[in-house]
Amino acid sequence: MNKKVTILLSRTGENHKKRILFGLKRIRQTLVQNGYELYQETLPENFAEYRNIEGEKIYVGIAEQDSFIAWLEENELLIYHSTKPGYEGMYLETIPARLTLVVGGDETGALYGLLELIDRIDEEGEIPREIAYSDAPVMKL
Amino acid sequence: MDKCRKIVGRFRNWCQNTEILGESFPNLSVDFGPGSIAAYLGCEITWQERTVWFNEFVEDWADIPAFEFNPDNKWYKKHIEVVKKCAELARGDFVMTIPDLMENLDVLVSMRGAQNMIFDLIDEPEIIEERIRQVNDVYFNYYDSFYDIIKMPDNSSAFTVFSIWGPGKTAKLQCDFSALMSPQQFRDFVQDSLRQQARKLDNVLYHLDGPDAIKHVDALMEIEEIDALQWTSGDHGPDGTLEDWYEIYDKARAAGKSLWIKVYSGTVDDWIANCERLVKRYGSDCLYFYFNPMPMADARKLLDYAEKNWSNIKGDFRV
Repeated sequence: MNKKVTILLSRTGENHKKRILFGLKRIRQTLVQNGYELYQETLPENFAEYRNIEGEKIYVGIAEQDSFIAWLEENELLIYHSTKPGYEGMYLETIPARLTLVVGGDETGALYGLLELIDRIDEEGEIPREIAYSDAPVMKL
Repeated sequence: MDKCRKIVGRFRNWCQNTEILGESFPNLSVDFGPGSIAAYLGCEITWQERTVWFNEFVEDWADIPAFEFNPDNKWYKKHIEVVKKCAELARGDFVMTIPDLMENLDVLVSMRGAQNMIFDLIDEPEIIEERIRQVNDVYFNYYDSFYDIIKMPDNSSAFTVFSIWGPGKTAKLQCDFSALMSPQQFRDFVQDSLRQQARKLDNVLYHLDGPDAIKHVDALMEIEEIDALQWTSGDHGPDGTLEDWYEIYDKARAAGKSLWIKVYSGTVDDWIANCERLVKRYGSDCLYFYFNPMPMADARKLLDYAEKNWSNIKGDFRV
């Protein structure tokens, strides 16, 4: 049976940033290479309805800038198990309704998060079933 | 111009005390460091005893006018003046070489910094494509101005690195920054630029630098106009004779490219054994072995063996 995944995009264009779009292009290629059937959908107006989108989902956003991320935080669906991502940092988490979140501290952090997720998909052959992972550069070059 | 007398005088002294053997030839490199086009286009140079740095200065590409050949740039004027003077002093006694001008993204990276460039490829791909085109456009203004000074009477020329010479225009091409690029990015940004550049040259050696550049070998070998490949395994890495490099060399030979191979691991007996292995595999017509200066006894042993055993050998390698 084909594996299916839906990439969720912000309704207001909050995650339509060049580095995020670049990362999404890369992750789409990886998902296809790993046997996924790809779908893309805009987030519902009522964020709670994201649960109604069938199957696995991926969403990428920037902390403090993205209203969906903010809503997930408020509703304690997204709980940072370490610090909230800051400069060039990232946080990956699986939350209810099979949604894998990639949260960047900024646009670059979101890209790094996507690249981390790509590596994991390549290693495991599928989207990690349960992930809570944060990282950030030790120093700025 | 006293310094030019010193440069040429020192080189004459070296030539008088060195036997130039095999297919090597005395050639004087008058270089301002790798990638001097970046300095001609605006970089300041920081000189150190054993190296140079081109200081990045581009904050925003929008603030930088389109690149144009600028004969009044202070570094270019100085460089061409020194090369001209050294060529006069050389009086045709030895070969003068084209400086290591460099091309495509390696020039832009000197101006902008590697980390910024990684993001520029994502954020502003059209601008970077246009800048690469501009570097390509000015490259031959600079190349030709040096070529006109250093060319031999038969119009042949030599290039400053890898001791390469050939009829007409000769150059080494590269993209060291490619180590930080994906194969698709290399095809999108660099492959065609190299192809266009190579088309205007008569002899092209591509310098493939380091393990992270290997992923681009397929794209490089598609460029018909590249004549030969030189592979560097990294800083202080094993020499070019290692069997692990066959995967790279096989692709180059399958594409009809010659191989430039530096030999330095082990002793003279190891060099002979390792070169012998390569000659048997690839044949003697497509190989150029480069050796560092060595004691005369080793050189005689090596040359004697080469002359007796490495002529007109057809290799075992088949596509």
